[in-house]
Amino acid sequence: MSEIKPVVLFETEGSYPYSGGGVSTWAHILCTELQDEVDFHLMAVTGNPFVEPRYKLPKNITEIIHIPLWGVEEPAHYFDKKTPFSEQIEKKARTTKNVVKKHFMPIFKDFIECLNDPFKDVDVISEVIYGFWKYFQHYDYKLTMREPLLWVDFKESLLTKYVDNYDPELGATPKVIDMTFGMRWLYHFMMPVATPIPAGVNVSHSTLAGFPALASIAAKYEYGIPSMVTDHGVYMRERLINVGRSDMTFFSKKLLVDLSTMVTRAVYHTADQISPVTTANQKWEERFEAKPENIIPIYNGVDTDLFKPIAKPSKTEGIPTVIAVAQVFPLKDIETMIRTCKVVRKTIPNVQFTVYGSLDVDPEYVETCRDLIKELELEDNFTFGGFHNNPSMIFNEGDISILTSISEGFPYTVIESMSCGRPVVATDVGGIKDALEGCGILCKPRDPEEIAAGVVTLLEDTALRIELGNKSREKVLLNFTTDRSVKNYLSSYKELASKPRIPLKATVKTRSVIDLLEFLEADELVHAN
Amino acid sequence: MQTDIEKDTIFAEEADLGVFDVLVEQVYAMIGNPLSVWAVAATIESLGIRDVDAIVDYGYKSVFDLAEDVYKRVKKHIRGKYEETKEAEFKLGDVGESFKLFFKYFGTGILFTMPMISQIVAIIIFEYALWAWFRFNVAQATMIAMGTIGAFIITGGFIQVLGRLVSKYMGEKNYYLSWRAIKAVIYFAVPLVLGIAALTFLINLILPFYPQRMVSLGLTYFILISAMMLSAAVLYASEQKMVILASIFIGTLTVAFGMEVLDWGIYLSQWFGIGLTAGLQIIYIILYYLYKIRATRQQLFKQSLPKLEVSYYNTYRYFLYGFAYFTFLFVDRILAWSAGPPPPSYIIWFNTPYELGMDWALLSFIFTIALLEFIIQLFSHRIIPAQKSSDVTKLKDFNRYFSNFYSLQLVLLFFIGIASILLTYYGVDALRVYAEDYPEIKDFFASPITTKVFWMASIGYLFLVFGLLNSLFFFTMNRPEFVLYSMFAALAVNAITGYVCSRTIGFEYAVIGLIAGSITFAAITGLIGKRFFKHLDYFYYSAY
Repeated sequence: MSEIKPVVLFETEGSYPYSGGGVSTWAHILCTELQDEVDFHLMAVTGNPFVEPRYKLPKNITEIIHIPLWGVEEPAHYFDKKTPFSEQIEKKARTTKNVVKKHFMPIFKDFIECLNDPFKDVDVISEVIYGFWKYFQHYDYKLTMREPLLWVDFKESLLTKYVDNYDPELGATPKVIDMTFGMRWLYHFMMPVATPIPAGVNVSHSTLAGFPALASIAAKYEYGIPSMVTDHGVYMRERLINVGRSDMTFFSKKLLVDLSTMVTRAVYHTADQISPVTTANQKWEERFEAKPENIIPIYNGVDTDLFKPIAKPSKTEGIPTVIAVAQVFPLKDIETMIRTCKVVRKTIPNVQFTVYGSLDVDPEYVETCRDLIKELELEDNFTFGGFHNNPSMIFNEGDISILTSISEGFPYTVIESMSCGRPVVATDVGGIKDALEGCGILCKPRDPEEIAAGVVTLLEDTALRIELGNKSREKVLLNFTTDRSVKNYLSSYKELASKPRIPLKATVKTRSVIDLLEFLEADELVHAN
Repeated sequence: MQTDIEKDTIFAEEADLGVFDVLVEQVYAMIGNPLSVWAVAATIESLGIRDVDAIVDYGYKSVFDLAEDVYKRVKKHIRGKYEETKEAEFKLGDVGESFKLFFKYFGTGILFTMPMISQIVAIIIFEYALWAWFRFNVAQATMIAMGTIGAFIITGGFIQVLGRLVSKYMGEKNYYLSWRAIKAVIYFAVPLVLGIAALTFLINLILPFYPQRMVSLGLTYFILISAMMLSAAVLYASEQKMVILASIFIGTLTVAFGMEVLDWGIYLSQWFGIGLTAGLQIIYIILYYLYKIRATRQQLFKQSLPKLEVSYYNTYRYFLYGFAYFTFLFVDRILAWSAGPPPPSYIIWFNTPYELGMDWALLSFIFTIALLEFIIQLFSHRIIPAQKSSDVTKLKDFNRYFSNFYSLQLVLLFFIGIASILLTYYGVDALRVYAEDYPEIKDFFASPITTKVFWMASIGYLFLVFGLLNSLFFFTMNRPEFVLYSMFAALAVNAITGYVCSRTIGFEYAVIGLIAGSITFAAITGLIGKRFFKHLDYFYYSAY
């Protein structure tokens, strides 16, 4: 029997092919390396519509379905380019108040119930998401979501919670603006659920367990298309951190997190394979419905021909140099790195720390760091190198590299440095241990003294530095090469593509969704006759 | 229940805190009221605290165990805090602020009616303006009026579409797409204007309604005024309104220069004046956008307008409204000028007393239009603070507040409208004392039809402005369909009533059509407006 060629619906959010960063690099390597073996349909969710690919797309990317969540008047025009606009107008004409009331409202009510209790039976959540998708294949997304009935229902559910069953632990009563934005968020964030699934796709692969993967859920229910999810960080964990820290009201934070929770649970629940880039976050994945037997980590890989040991350039020769590659923002904890530099300087006065990476992510934080450098009088020892046009040379400029993050997945910067034979001193967070154990120095986060001790040890002990450098390179060659990583994905794709297709729609138990399916089936029969 | 309280701490500042309490305080400072134990765990992890630290530093089995206790401690604080306090009152509105806004925006509104007022002043000083002249004969006046009306009606739809698109993209500070949208609309508008001119010329060749020379004259004005209207619409939506005023001022002076110094005659002077006005506006628009695009480097990003059919769909309501609105404004004139007795010399024949009455009434309209600027700005100033300050439990109060706000604005509009009609009437009527010294003034008051038309048109305009106010609210909330249907109904009523009255009572009663149409417009939009404000929360939500 001939092997089935995987045709992958590859779902991204805020990354490939429109933005840079680790996930985009990974996605580009994956697509490019599999040019002859796999075809990709990219489904890219972005914030705004005006973006252009930052990468030269390989020929096996046969289509880009772009879903801008904000800034478009007619979203369907973007995410459903294949349907002529005249047909979309027909869809609008079909979307009457009566249709919304009879066929969408019951599902929407179930959806709101799930939103109020995102840890509800995950089958119901998944089915409701599928119900949305099925409905939006026949009716207009914008007109439906703008229907006053939905607003009334959303409003009532809120008032029940805050007026009838108020619990002081809910904190402040939400404002009208919270309600307005809450419902608008539903409109914007749920947009991927209206996207048609391209014909010919036999695997769906989401690069995170979030909103773009709504299409994977739909594909699984409608066509039985197997799906996989790659967790670079843990989507829910990052969501909890970012939303939790924002200055939104409790209600708004809760709404966003609950919405993400229900989506993530449904994504994990329906996924055939969950492939985090590290083993470190499994407890998080399991908490949000990932079945342990489906979790198969696939580590990131690095191009070892490109990232290879080279002698230090003349500009850093003779200077004890510590290199960091990191965008400057709080999770990277550059402040601790600066304090570490201060401690190291006591022993090695001419030490030079250079941080390469964007300074645009959080300009305020960059200012804080600059102030700290000034305060600690480290102007001669600590510098920001900004963007470097030759990434493979960065690590070879230094003797060692450093990472002081307080949260990480499985960072490229660590394995790239290792591949260059430059040992790494890093904080023991996320999946860093998977990479560094046995060939680098792991430290407690936010502890400049301990990190500095590691840096000093490596800078002063040349033999140890060379030994760990060699071990690092060996470990990368053995475990973390691009080739190995890509092969793991390819075999996963092939295995999933050859799985029997069993659409889950036959198993739906949620009444509102069954009613819709029956109605649409009867309607199609009428039109067929 | 309670609204937002300023940030507090869980423990007293001077308290001697253990490591656990310090962590509780740290977590509370970072995330406030925690969403869940998992949110606390994620936050603790983000502080760099690992399972091993939870064991060694805090004596817990893991970060999750630690998070559970931190969560409970913070929630205990939250519970105490929100049980003690009372509901916040919903209050809004500051009279002082309203007055400030009134003077600012009513003043601005008046300022932007200056292009219109400047033309009246020019006529008084020079006897002519960009396209008017006291000494035009009826034939000339007919053609120029037809050219002007044609320009307003044909460009009316494009003006609204330009307003919509340019405001949208300028609101996003997207000069590049704004510029592309302008070009896209102009590429449609200009061929249409020229095509209609050519078609009119040809039709008149085959079916000579007017002498060909007269038609050519009217078409020249039609093309030039169309160009000026379109460029002014772009400037208006681009918030470059002073340029309109300046260019019209320069254009008007040019007419005077052509007449008084160069002795070019009225046609050449006016054509040159209008052409210069449009030209200056166009040059400014090009320079403005090219500069802005370069300065913001927006041409470097790949951006495009939606597909043509999507753009049509998004803007067709605005186009139809613009077309219907300007037709509405002029249909009574067409009906009056085509009625008898005696039968008009040509199919449509200018009537000076009628036109003077309409122009006189237009003065009162200017003041009320300026008031709209203030009302809509006040609404925009109030809506977001109101959304931010009212609890969802006070939703009815929120909607009621804006219903009252709306009623109050209607009353204000009514009083200002009446006052401006009276002011305009008595202001102009006072000129009668100079009738013997100035023949133009004597001519102005020569026909009782002028005064009659003034009164009726003023009433019509007063109702119209009520409809326009409602329309502005609807446009602000992205509901052009409410305006469109109302305007079409109003136009039909205007045309039918005007036709019947002008043919049965007297030609000047065509203006009753304007009154009836305006009442229709005000009534339909008013009914929708009432529902609109009753459910403002919904309309605000769905304004995307």
